[in-house]
Amino acid sequence: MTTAASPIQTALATALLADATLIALLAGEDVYSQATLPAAPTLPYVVLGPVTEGETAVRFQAAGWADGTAQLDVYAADQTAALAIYTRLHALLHRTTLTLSGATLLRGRLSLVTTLADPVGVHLVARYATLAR
Amino acid sequence: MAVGRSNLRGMRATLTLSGGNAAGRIANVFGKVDTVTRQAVQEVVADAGAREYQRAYDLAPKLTFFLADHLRYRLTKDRLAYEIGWKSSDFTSEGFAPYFQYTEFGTSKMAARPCLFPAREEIRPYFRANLSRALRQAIARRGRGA
Repeated sequence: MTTAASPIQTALATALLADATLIALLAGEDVYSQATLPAAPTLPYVVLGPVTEGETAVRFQAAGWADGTAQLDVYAADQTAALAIYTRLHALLHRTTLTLSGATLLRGRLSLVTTLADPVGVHLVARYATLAR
Repeated sequence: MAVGRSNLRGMRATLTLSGGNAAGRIANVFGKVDTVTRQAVQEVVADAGAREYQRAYDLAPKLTFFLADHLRYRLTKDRLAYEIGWKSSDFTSEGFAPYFQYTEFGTSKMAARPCLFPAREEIRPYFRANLSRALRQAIARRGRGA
């Protein structure tokens, strides 16, 4: 992923690409945004969806925090591979605080929404919610 | 406030977001001894649910209006939670695949055009603020011994 639309996406991409275990599961640095998604990406891969910003509680706003929610999509050949990647994403992102250049993400929460059949195999949908500044 | 829930088994699918569960738990704590609080929370839930449904409808893709027009909104029997979403039978009975999951979440070939989750994100602060106000009023009533 070379560009990102928001600090949250940038921080997520940086965190994911820095993890050797995830890169091994993806068999490469296959983490994209919609803007960087190739026409025919190699399975499996992860897509970071756009961030929806919400209204943060006043005490957090005063401290410069904003909350955001992003959809994370995992595309894999089968459910087993998709769940293995989700498990790694969960270990990296759920209830962790990421402090990276450009953004701090405070105690994010990653949740599995659903898995869907997809033309390329399986599409696993997860949502990541966090406070960021 | 809300829990995403969906499943896809063959052609049977549902996709709903539920809201107000936390409100229900809170209302149960107060409501057993305070009918006024319970009614206040029910009003907060109904108001947030109606607003969230309207916002989801506004955001839904409207090439044919089928998706938007088949968006369902339901308050639970105790009126302490609501659900917004689609039922696959509404689609299959008209000869369509239950494609709402693909518009909401996207596919490898098509970007998502979500409406349920953005609507929830927009309404959540409003819901929280109103719920907080209802609870503050309940606590104040208790403090006065009313």
